[in-house]
Amino acid sequence: MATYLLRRLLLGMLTLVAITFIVYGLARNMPGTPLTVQMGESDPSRKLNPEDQERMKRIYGLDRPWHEGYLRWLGNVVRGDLGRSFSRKQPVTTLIGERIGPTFLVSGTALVLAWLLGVPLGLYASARSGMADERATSLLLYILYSFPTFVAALFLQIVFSVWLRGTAWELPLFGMSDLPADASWAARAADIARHAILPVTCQTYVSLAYDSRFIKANMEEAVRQDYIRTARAKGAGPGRVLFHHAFRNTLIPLVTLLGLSLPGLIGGSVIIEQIFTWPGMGRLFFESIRERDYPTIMGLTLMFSVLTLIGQLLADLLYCLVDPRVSVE
Amino acid sequence: MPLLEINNLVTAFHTPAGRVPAVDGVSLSIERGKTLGLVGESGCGKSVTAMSILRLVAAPGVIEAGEILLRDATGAAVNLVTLAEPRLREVRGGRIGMIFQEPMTSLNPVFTIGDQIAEAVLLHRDVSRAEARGRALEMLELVRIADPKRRLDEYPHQLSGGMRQRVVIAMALACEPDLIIADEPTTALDVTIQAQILDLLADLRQRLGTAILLITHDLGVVAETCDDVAVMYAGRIVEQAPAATIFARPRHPYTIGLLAARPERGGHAGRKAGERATGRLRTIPGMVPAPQNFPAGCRFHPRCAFARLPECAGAMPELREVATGHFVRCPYADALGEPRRLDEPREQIA
Ligand SMILES: Nc1ncnc2c1ncn2[C@@H]1O[C@H](COP(=O)(O)OP(=O)(O)OP(=O)(O)O)[C@@H](O)[C@H]1O
Ligand code: SF4
Ligand SMILES: [Mg+2]
Repeated sequence: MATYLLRRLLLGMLTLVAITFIVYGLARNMPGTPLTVQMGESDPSRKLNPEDQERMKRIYGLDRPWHEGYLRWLGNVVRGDLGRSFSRKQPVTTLIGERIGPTFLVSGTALVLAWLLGVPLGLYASARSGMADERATSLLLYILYSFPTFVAALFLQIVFSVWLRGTAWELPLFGMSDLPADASWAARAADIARHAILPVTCQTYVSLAYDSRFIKANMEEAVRQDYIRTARAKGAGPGRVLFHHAFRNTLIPLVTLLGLSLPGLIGGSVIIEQIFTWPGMGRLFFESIRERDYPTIMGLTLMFSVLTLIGQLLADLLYCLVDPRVSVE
Repeated sequence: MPLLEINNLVTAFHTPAGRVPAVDGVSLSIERGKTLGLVGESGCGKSVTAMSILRLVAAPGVIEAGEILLRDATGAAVNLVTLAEPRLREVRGGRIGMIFQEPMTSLNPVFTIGDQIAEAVLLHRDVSRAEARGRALEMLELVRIADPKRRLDEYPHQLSGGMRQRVVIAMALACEPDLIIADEPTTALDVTIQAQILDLLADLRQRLGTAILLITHDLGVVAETCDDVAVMYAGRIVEQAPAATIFARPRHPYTIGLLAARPERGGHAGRKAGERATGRLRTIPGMVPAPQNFPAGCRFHPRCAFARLPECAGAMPELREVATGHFVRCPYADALGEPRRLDEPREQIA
């Protein structure tokens, strides 16, 4: 076990170095630098004069070739320093700290909801496979699943923020809170919850459709196996066959899916956060790329990568737990 | 009164390509405590017959007609074809146990051996978990698994094929059923293991008095273990008789062909069929017809060395009793005449 974890750790480190190296290379070689993008975009007349540009470049370390920059970044990371954002003049860790909560609120709620609804829905669909009600549900889920998120988001915004404006059903169009910072704790919580409803709905329905279809597909696969026939021949009823014998086997792929959803929990959805102007990680990532804010891009990349690796490790460990045929050795 | 009696069972699959009558009027009976061998070439409907008995045929298979009577010790019969699901579940694993061909896949990979045997007990007996586990241990001892205490907590993947099949047998026997259906229980195993499993089954039958429906295409196995034999061809029984009778005097041309097609092991009656005894495996010339295109009349007539045309291609012959307990589905069974050579090309019968 210890050697296994050690091996995974070393392998993970190597993967991280490879990922960050590539991303750093890509980011630095994208057209534009923080200086051109920042200044040039807002006001072309305010372009820096060449001397100032050179000075700024030196400050940001952009005068060196990108691989040197990468090594310096890596060295700082090893010392626990993710650097300061170019565009926001704040430590990257502070930025992440501010954004992680809102993202987690939306994606965590969405994940829990999607599983709470998706697992029973998938089981229901596999139990009633082929019947009219199951076909209708599955078709609906399929339509939902193939519906682009941004269309759904815009649709929800039109319905709840425009059509229902002025009614009790009205929901905020975007943002996380309209109240001043000195409002009472309870009032702010309620306000944030109201703002979160639409983003959470958007993020839930995609995973819900995906999860239930995933469960149904895996259940159908499990139900075809010989051991299901054995269970029926023993005298097990349909409920026991489905929930005990088949479902226990679909836990195996399910655990993988759960592990894979871990990074998304913190990463958030770029599209949803962008549409609803939700101050989360996905939006931070999007903006940092637009602003060529290399330290923030790298900080977020590192965090997502670490989470992905942890998710995989977690999935593998859970895998051993649910599948007796697999052991860490 | 037979323990199990199947009358005119019809099980068909309704596929997009049409109706496939895999079992098309099977009748057979099994006496209490006896072993009936069900033999026939691949695809003739043996497994579908077995699955029909416990109504385990998967969609799109449907039992369309017939009755399957299961009698208890007093002689009272239930018809498994029409029995309500909850009552049928009492029969499954309770009064009839089932052993499948594939020991590698017929156990659930995520539960321990002990749990799976105990489940069979818990489903049918009003006992505690501990008692069920005790019973599972007893069963493992009964099927002669070494170190049964340890095996109880092991998972199927930790066992060899032969041991898994022993576990499946233990599971099938855990509730002391009156009948065991064993669908080619040894086909997937090594030859030496095959013999061990068959010995075990024979021994258990002796000790427990369980009747067995043994499905196989190995006539050697039938000769060694069965009291009675039913020969199946193209979805129907063509001959049923005590094993000794079948081997001494097969009456149906298909049975005669099957026996002649056996690898030679020192002359069996089959050689009387007139085929050359060359010592190598021979088969009956021609192909097994698929259920979608069973020939009219006697379904064996395109391959029958004794066929009389056009009579044999006309009406479907009935199963009739030619001697006490000996049933044959061929009107000419008593006077077959000289066989023709079928391995030579001949005209196709329209
Ligand atoms: N699910 C199905 N759909 C359509 N046809 C089927 C299905 N299952 C079985 N059959 C048909 O039923 C016939 C009998 O199959 P069955 O499995 O009973 O044969 P068998 O005698 O057990 O053969 P084997 O010795 O190979 O096990 C076959 O011809 C097959 O084509
Ligand atoms: S009925 Fe005719 S074809 Fe069929 S087995 Fe008898 S002799 Fe052969
Ligand atoms: Mg079969």
